[in-house]
Amino acid sequence: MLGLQFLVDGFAFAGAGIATIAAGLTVTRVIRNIRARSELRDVLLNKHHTEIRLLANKRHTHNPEELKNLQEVMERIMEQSAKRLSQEHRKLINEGLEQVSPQGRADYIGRILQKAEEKDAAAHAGHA
Amino acid sequence: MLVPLIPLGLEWLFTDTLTDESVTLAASMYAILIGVSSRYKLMLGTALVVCMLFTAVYGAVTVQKQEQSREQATALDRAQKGIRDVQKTLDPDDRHSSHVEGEPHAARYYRSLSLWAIFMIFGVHVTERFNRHVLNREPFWELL
Repeated sequence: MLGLQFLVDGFAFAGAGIATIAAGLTVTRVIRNIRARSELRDVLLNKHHTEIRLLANKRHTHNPEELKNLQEVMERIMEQSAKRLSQEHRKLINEGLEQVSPQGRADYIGRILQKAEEKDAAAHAGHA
Repeated sequence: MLVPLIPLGLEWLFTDTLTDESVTLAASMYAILIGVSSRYKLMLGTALVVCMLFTAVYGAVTVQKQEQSREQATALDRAQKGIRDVQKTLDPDDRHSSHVEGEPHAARYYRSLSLWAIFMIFGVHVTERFNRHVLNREPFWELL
């Protein structure tokens, strides 16, 4: 009987302990998200010119027209970010957040640009 | 967030107390409910474990209460028959003798631990919702 009592006591303490750990993990996750977002915002808002240039270099693009297009696409993305995010955009942002690192940023922005370009191309095709 | 805890609140409102069974069961149900509504697999697994643990605790508390009332009934029965005095019917060396008066010795911290778990799970839920609706800017109801 005493053994059973200890077992049940253990269950109760384990339950409360696991719930506490879960709360800690969730808080950590949210703090990480806030930090990642701040980093991403920093990239999007302050360093996007550099990122576009890096991206353009990566694509071996020095064409001013193409650079301007990239700039416009980037600005449109930033405008969208300021508004309520669409489901697709949110997914992209969340995917991007998973790899917020100096190396991951260029790929991430590249993916967004590619998506936006594809969308633009589809819209143009639709108009045509 | 608080809707699943309404039964507990009503019990407290009407009876001015919370039974150990209600609190442990509420902890168990609240854990699984929040786990299922969570978008993280880890949270679902954790909630499942917490739910099972508190379900076991609920079972133990129920059995304890039944034993306690049985012991009380037996003691009263014996007293009524005049065999002995109620205190003398219980063996003073028996470690369960304290169960006759008051609540079982373990139950007092079961209640505290269950309330703590409910509070922590509530914290998990609040944090997760903050992440979703404030940081990720998800509309509260997608349908609206």
